[in-house]
Amino acid sequence: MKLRRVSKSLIFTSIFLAELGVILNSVELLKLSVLPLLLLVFPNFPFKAELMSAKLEGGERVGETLEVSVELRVAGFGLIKAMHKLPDTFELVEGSNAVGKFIAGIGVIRISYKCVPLKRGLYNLGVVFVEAENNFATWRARAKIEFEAKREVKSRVYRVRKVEQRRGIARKPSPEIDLSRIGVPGTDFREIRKYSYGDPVKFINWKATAKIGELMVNEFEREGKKTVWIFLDTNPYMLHGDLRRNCFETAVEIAASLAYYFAVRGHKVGFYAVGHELLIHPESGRRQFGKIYSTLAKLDVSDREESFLSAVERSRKYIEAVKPASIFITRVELSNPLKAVMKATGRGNLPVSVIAIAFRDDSMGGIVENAMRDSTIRKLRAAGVEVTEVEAGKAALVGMVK
Amino acid sequence: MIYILNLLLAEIAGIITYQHFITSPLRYFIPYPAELLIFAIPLAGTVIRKPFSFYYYAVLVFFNISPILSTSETFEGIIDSLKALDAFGTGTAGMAESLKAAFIDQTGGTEGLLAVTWLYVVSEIFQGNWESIRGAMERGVEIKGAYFAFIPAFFIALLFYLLFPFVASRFDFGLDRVVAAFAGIAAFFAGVYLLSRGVEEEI
Repeated sequence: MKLRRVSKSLIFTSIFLAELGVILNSVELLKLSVLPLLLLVFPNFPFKAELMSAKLEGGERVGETLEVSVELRVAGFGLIKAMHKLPDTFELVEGSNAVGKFIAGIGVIRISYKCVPLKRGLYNLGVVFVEAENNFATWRARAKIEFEAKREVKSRVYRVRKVEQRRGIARKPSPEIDLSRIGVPGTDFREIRKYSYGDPVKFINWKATAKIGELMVNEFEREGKKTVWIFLDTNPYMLHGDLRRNCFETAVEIAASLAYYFAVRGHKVGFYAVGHELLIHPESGRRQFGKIYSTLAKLDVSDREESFLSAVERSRKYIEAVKPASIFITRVELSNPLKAVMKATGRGNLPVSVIAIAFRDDSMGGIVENAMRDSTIRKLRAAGVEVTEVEAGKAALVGMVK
Repeated sequence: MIYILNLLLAEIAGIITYQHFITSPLRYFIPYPAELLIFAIPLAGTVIRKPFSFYYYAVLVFFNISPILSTSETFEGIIDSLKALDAFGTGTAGMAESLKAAFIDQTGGTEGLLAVTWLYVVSEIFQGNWESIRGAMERGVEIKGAYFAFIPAFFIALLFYLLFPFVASRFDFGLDRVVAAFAGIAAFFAGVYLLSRGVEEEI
């Protein structure tokens, strides 16, 4: 425990008088040395604080204003300060979360302010600290008031209106109109092909079989749309920038937005957090989006690094089974995902897209990073991979979404 | 505002000290207009750091200490020492006699010292309160009626000042020199320990 400045001064004065009293052998000075000590040990007036009301509105998503209004009934005497505890990732935009008032008897302290959450996560906003200072500013008494106010702040999900797309052998992660190789066969005839093990007997084309001399089956267009697999880079290097311009937060927002876009349009969406080795099996619909979204809300950068190549290897059996379009969201200059992209593309020439998160600054390090990123992007594009650059902190999906 | 308030307290302490000084034997040893420095120091202090500093308080204690010297065995010891040194032809016997004549028979109480100490302590309390309020405001705390905090601080301290002589007069004790020496050493080490702990950062 450290002393307050006033306490130190009072002790110093008392010792000065006591020493002088001892040197001069004076009882009067020794008695006088007690005066500063009496003021020093003068206690706080007892105080009591209780919560009258607490209202928190908004702030459910990153960037959305949270309005806070807390009222305390305080009984005491002196200067009493109250502070509604805000997490570091909340930014005050109006008012103050700390208020003080001179109270003689009973009074009400109102804390009213607006703030903006800058990072997703689960926060406890139900803590108010109250501090009463004694009249001589020598002591402080503190109290903590807790109430139920847990709030989950979720990532922004951008309303993606359209992803550029082209029908054909999907070479791009824009599979809205591409057709799945798996799923329930529909009624639209596609082709006649040789029988392979597992084909239903009802699909055998007996006429063609008789004509060619070996088992042939009818192939129908399959219902359902192409699976999309999102690989989100959560390696430690993604934690770059400040609360407003942050590579990782931007990557999470993009992942959430794309997951929403594809999941609600009937695509199966799979998810892999590179670094955490966390895999969510591909499913479609809002429920799948909710699953991915709640995972994203709790996700933070990993403690150890995992390469994209290793991530694709781990997901290999799923990739081979569902033949997805893959989307890599990463800082390409540091992850260099070229080999992983090639692996994900495979012999089936599956579409892979890379979303490169860029953090631009004019420092020497920034210039070097920019050069490395440009070089990696050139290599990826030369390999036929579609690369979309998104600047950290800027509205996501610019350039990808029309 | 706090500077003006502390300057006022310092000047009041200066006036009390001056009034005491002109009736004390110290006036024989300090020529006019040197004592006027008592009023000038707080003004200079306002410019440099703060009006009522500890150094200024120490100066005021020095000017108020003459009634204590008349009953101090230490002071008597100094006079005896000066007389003893005269045996070596230093001519200090005359000085010892003049000091004795000036101080030993002096009558008077320690009210001036009490008033000056109280004023210094009050100025420190005001300064502490003000620093606490200013620190909080600089960190974004909105404080209503902040300066009301000075009023109870002043009146409670005043109550201490008024009651202290009555309470102190009830405790009368002789101070053995050995006990005084141990008390002095203990106070010194206690002070060193407490003051070495540093000052709390304002939060």
